Amino acid sequence: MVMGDSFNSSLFKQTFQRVFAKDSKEEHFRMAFGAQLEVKCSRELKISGAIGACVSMNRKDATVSDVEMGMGNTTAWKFCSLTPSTTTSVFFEVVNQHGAPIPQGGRGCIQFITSYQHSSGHRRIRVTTLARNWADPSTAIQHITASFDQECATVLMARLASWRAEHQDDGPDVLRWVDRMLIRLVHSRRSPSSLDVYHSHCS
Amino acid sequence: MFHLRRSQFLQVSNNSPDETTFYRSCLLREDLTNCLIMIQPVLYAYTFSGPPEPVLLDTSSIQPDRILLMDTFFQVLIFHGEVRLAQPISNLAGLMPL
Repeated sequence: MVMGDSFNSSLFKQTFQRVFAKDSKEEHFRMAFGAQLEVKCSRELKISGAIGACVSMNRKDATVSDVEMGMGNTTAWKFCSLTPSTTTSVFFEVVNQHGAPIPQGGRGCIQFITSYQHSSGHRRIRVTTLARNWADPSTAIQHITASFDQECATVLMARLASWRAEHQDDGPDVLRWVDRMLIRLVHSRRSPSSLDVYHSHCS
Repeated sequence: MFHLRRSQFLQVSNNSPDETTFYRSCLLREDLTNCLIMIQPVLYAYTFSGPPEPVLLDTSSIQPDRILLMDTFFQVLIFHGEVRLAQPISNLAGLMPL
C-alpha cells in the first residue's frame, strides 16, 4: 500500500503492478478473498477480541470473554481479502474455571480456522492448532520470561493503542494509558530489583 | 514505547484524518518486522571506512563524515554529512543493504 499525491508517479505505477503479483508457478494471484477466521480455545482461555483488517461476525459462544479488547464479543471475524503479508492480532484472557487453579504442566490449546476463496476460484480451509504449557508466574517465572516474545508484545501494544485512539478514548487518554502500561510492565513487583530482572531478560 | 508515544499513530495533529487512517491501517496489517520499523525507525550509517552499520536513533549519530539513512517504512530519508564527496553518490549504491 502506498500513499501519494498523483497517479502519474513511478512509485504509484510500480506499487500498482505489484498488487497483481503472481505466485511461483505464475498461475494465480497472491490474494485470497472472502476470508473468515474462527478461533477456538480450551477452557482456561477466553477470547477478548481481534484487531486487524476485519469485522466481527457476531458469533458468540461460551468462549467469549467479557473483557473486550479490539473487536470483541465474537469468535469469528470476516476479512474481505488476504495477502501473504496480512497479519491480525487476537487477544485472549486467562480464566480459572470455577475457582480451580490451572494444573501445572497442563496445556492450553488454541485453534485458528481460516476459510477463504483462493484466486483460482476454489474454496479452501486452513486449520492451525497450537498447544502451550501453562506456567505459574509465582514459581516458574523463568519459563515465562524465556518464552516471552517482546517484539510481538511491542507490536500488539502499539496496535491496541492505535485502536483505542481511533475508537474509544481521546488523544491524551491513550497516551496516559500507554504510559501506565509501560510502568506496570517494568515495575511489576513494586521493587527496584524488578527493573534489573526486566533488563536482564529483555536485552 | 518512547517512539510510539510521539509517532504519527498517536500524535495526529500533524496529519489529515485520511493520512492517520492510512498509517494506522498499515500498522494493523503488516508483518512483525515491518511493524517494528514503523514503531521504532531504523537508522543506518554509511561511511567510507566500512560496511553500513545500524546506529542509535539519536542526534549524536550525526557526524560530518557519515551519510545516514532512516527507514520509517513509509519513507526513506537520507541525511548527508558535511564532508564533500569526491566520488559521485552512485558509487555508494553497491553498499546498500537489501
